[in-house]
Amino acid sequence: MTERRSKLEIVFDILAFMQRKGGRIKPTHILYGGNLSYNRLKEYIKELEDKELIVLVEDKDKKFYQITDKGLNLIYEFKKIKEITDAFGL
Amino acid sequence: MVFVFHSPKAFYGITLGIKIFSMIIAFFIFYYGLKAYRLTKDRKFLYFGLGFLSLLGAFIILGLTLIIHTGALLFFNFDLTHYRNLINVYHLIYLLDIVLVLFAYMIFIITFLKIQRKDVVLMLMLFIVALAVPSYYWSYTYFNLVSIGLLGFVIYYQGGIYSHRKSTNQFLVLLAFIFLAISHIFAMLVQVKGYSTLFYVLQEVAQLFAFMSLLGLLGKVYLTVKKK
Repeated sequence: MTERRSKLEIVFDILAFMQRKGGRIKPTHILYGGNLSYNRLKEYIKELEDKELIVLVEDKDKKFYQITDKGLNLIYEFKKIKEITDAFGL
Repeated sequence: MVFVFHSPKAFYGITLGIKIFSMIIAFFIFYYGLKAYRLTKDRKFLYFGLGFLSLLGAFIILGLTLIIHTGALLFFNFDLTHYRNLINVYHLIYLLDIVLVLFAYMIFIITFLKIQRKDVVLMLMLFIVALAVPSYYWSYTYFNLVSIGLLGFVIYYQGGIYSHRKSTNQFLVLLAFIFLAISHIFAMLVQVKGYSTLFYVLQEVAQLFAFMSLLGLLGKVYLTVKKK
């Protein structure tokens, strides 16, 4: 249970970092936001792509990860839930 | 949450309105609790949601009873409380209401104490049934005293959190539980001869304030959390 929760928080941290950087970010820059090792980051990126929370886009021969509407929506929902559950001291 | 028949007849509509308003707020908080559980799989969010679901159930039961009772009285001039067999049905509804309300308060305590062991949770729930049955046989006073005791713990816990973090959201939650406890105090006083109507109205208003505080919390979260 704790593992899954922290996993969700990592996912949230990555997405929130991408959002702060304008929604589009170079793959290597995700490392700073996720605060993860390269191998673990690759796993998370794959999962985020599989869940359609981010997509890989190419712009002028450069690759970027871009946050999707679904990803933005997850951030929004997560923030609301966190505010409410924090208010109850959970 | 005194049973509906203590309500002055002119207040039936307002009582029903307060119950519906409370139902909507309880539903939203239940929904967020469930959503948090689905995202994190942490059982404390499930229990938290179930607490509000239990309160929602109590309001639905009281609301429906009130609609049926008032409808029979208004449209058929038929006072259901004059029929002995129906009184037993009303008593059963009252018992169910007590159990659901006490369940909710106990679930809040379980959640705040972060009790996760299923056997302990089950035992505490059985303990609540043991507390509810005497309420049914003795009086409202006992039920309200137990409720105040349980809410007292919740207020103590929430007060501790608020004094530590001093956030508006936590203040609104603390206020909601304080008003709920006050509504039970007024509910106990309904039995004071000559003032039952006044205290009934006051307990309903206190309940309204409790759920308005929670509406304030939901509203604040919706306004402050930006989509993009």
